[in-house]
Amino acid sequence: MTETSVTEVTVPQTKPSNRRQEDYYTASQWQLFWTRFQRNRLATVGGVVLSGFILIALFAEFIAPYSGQADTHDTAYTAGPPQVIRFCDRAGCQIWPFVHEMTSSYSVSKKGYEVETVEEKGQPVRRSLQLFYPASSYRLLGLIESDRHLFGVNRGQVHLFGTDSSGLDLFSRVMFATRTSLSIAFLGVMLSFVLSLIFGGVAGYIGGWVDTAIQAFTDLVRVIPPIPLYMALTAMFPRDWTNTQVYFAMTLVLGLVNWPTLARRIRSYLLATREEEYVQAAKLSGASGWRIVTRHLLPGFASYIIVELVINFPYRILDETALSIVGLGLRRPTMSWGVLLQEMTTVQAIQLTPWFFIPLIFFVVAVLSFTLLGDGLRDAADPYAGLRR
Amino acid sequence: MVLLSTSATANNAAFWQFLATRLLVSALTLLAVSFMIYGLIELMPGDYAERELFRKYSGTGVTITQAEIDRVRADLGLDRPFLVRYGEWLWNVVTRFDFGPAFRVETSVNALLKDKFLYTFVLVIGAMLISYIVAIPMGIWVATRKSGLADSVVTLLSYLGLALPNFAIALVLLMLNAFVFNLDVTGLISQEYRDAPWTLAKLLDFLGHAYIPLLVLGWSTTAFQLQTMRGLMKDEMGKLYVTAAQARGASGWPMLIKYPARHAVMPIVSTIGFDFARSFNELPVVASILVLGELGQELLLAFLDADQNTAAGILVCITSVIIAANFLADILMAVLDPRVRLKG
Amino acid sequence: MILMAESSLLMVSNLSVRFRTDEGLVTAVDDLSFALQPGQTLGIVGESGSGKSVSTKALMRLLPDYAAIAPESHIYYQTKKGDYLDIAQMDANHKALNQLRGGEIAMIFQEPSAAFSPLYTIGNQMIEGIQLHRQVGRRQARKLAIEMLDRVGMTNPELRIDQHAFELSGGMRQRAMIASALVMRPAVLIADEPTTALDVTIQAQILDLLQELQQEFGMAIIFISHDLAVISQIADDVLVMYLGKEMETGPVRSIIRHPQHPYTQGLINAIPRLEAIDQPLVPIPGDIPSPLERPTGCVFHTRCPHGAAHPPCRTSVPDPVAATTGDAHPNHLAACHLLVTEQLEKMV
Repeated sequence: MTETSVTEVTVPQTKPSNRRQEDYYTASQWQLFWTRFQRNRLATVGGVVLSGFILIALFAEFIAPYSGQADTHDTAYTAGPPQVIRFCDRAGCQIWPFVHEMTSSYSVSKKGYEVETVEEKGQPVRRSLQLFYPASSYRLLGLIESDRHLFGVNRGQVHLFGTDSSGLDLFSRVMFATRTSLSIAFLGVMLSFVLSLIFGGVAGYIGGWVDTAIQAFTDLVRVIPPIPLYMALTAMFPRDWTNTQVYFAMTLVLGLVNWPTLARRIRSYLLATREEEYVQAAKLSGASGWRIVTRHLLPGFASYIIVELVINFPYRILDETALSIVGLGLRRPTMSWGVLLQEMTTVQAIQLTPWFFIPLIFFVVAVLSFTLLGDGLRDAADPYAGLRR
Repeated sequence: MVLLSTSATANNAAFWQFLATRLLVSALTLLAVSFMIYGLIELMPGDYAERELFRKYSGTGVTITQAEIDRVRADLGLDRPFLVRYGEWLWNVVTRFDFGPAFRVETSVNALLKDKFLYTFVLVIGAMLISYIVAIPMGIWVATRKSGLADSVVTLLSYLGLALPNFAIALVLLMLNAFVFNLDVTGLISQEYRDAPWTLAKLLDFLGHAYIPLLVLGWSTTAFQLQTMRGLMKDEMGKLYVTAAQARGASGWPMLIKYPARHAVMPIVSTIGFDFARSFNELPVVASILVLGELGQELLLAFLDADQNTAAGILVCITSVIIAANFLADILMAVLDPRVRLKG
Repeated sequence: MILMAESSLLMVSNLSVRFRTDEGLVTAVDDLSFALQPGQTLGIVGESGSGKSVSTKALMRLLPDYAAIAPESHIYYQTKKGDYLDIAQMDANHKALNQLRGGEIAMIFQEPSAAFSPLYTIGNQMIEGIQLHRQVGRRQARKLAIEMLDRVGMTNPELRIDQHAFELSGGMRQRAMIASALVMRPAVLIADEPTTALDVTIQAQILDLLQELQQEFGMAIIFISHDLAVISQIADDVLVMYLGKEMETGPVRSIIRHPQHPYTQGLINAIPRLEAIDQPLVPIPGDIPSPLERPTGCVFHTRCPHGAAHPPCRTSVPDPVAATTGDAHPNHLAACHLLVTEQLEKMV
């Protein structure tokens, strides 16, 4: 037994109990990523909530009972509080849910709106809720023509979130605002991504004096605080611009102002990887610059970039909302969370119509779920997250 | 400082050279930024002459003639080439700290902004001090806790810091105030003191108003810093030099302060300038909601009217504070970290 | 196991260390026992992940928060004053631990550049150690530090003391590390792969220095390495570890000449030798199993060339038995079922 004979060496057999371990070692990067991500419950919740937001953004016309635009004023119910969905009232119960017909009118003596339930023969008037209610027609996703809405009432209007100071349905407006706020943030993130990829990519790949020059330029842009700079840029929007123009200008500006940080990260990543052996090997074997960047450098960076973009998202939502609230961003009649929240910046509005806060809840939940998702993705993408505990 | 006592003497030259380089870089940055800002305003459609005439005659039905616009332009000196105006403006700023006349309100930019700068800087620096004073010791302490509870609380706070940003907190404060306290939370200074010279009473009045914006401004920075500090401290505590110090017999708070905390603070120090930028960033929105008559609104008005001097004055002042903070961070880093000092 | 002789300085018995991880408890050190005599050198050898570093960190109670020493573990230590301590059973915040660390047991590390904080000079960190364990003033401590730097072969110690670790070369850093450990006059020096990061020539210098200093100061050394060749140069006794368990232990000569355990044999065969330059190296097949999938029975059976053919290896944990081959030393023990079977066969 003191001699080890080489011929006797047998490859150790893998026992069935090692299956799990083996799966772990042979799993692809994405499978590993997915397993780690699913373990993070908060991030999963964030992802689910976010999918809900995306559905709202895509199908806002269908989910919202009304267009939320000037032609859908409910003049009898201006600045009315949210209506309660009921199954029962004084007159008894019914299987189908309903809301009460209500009016709201400004009372000079009380300096506020007074809400009354409309009664007929001593009984409150019911408006029955109906699913897939036919109302104004629209094109779903810009393609499918339809007049069905998720819900509606058989007479008058229903206001689950109440109405704003001009009698527009807040629920519908919040749905459309979700679309605007998410899309502007999305476009802003994408634009800054493209810019940072160009600047960071060129600086990181070429290096040398090009790198130095681009670095100096990004440093310069980073020194100027974005919102004051943004104010300067917004003020340049001519007054007579349409809302679409303002929307795109704002996207552009959000993207323009925020690229340096990501550019910096891309650069330092590329600088670090550039020297790695597999890249050097590709270079020696005569691969072109573009091919090296796209085939060798970027794939490893993809997960990092995705995470970075998701993490950036809530900040862009925040920018749009904050700027619109103070009147620097989008303006009525465009609907965004910030525009809707403009109405509640006065003490009076806060006292009289607290439901104007509802868009803030949407904003907070959206930012929170983006952040949770982003953190979860980052932890899942970082292979050392588990070891560091 | 202990660490400077012996090694600094030998390396003084390197240190001064480092300082001089950073100072030069800061000055160049400031120059470039001022040019960018001045140029940006130049790119705006329309200039102050047009806007003034438009305002003067709006609603009167008078047609503004090109001759009239040209006359106002000539009066204001706007007809000269851009570089000449920029050069003159820069010269006055550098030699006399004079930002020139404010077109909009027919006074000098200096007079227009004097008090407002003071308020702004007190708010920004105050908010940052609050965040450092709270977040650094708390972050260190939380990192040393073994239970997961403190960790969870800090994580939650950091999420809230993002999801409930300053403007949301300001709104919530307004609402709380409307329903519960009935205090005057808006404004920065009472009406009777607005134009009064600075006295103790005015200062107290200012502080009495300032705590709300300070809390609002400090809130998300603090939440963010707390999370950062905890993370940094945790990372540092796992490093080998900490184990080595423990293996020498060093222990408890003296060890934690001397080794991991000292290391963990450095990234925070190096980003002082960045924190300044963030505070300046958040101030205009908060100011607008809390109706603080400070720089944010003035900047917007200046831009809306294409008031080149005022707008450039404000932006240049803000960025120079940030650049100065960056310079300060560089010096502090050199003092705190021998690697910076000795290697440049 | 090595029995605790009267003269033992340090005796570890049944030491187990477990890590709490997200996937559950992971055993890092499993029922380990060994003893250390004053002035002797114990070499601990094993691949990475074998628990050699963790077990020595346990001796100084320097384990990370997520690690726990099992309650049945004992680490008996006789202090310089003659008191007996059970380090494993002491409270984690006990004051005596701080006297023990550095003053009684000191440690040097694989990467001196990371073991010195770059924010303080080498002198600052050495003086800190001196003043924690000896009642001397700052000036006296500085003098002691300079003397020690000189003793470990630093050129210009008066200048070096005010430099930072990043200003020194790798070999000089390791010398500084050794000086900063020995200046506290410990009775035990734990050297955790102190030469792994160094060039071969400097590695030899450092090994020589350690042996010289051991002669001079008379401390015991626990020398950790993954390299049996290095261990054989410096150690008196060897402990071979695999997955936190002791595989084989005994005097270095006996182990190198008569390795009993298939794992030790594998380690020896994997050493490149000049005289066998044209023969291929024989690596140990397979990889160390994940700590989460700890093999049953003998932990080495998944990689052992004989494990598949010998059923007990998979089911029962082997006890260490004395080696009987030729002139193997009586203190030479190995934990292998094959050895037991072989001895039984001989008896029949």
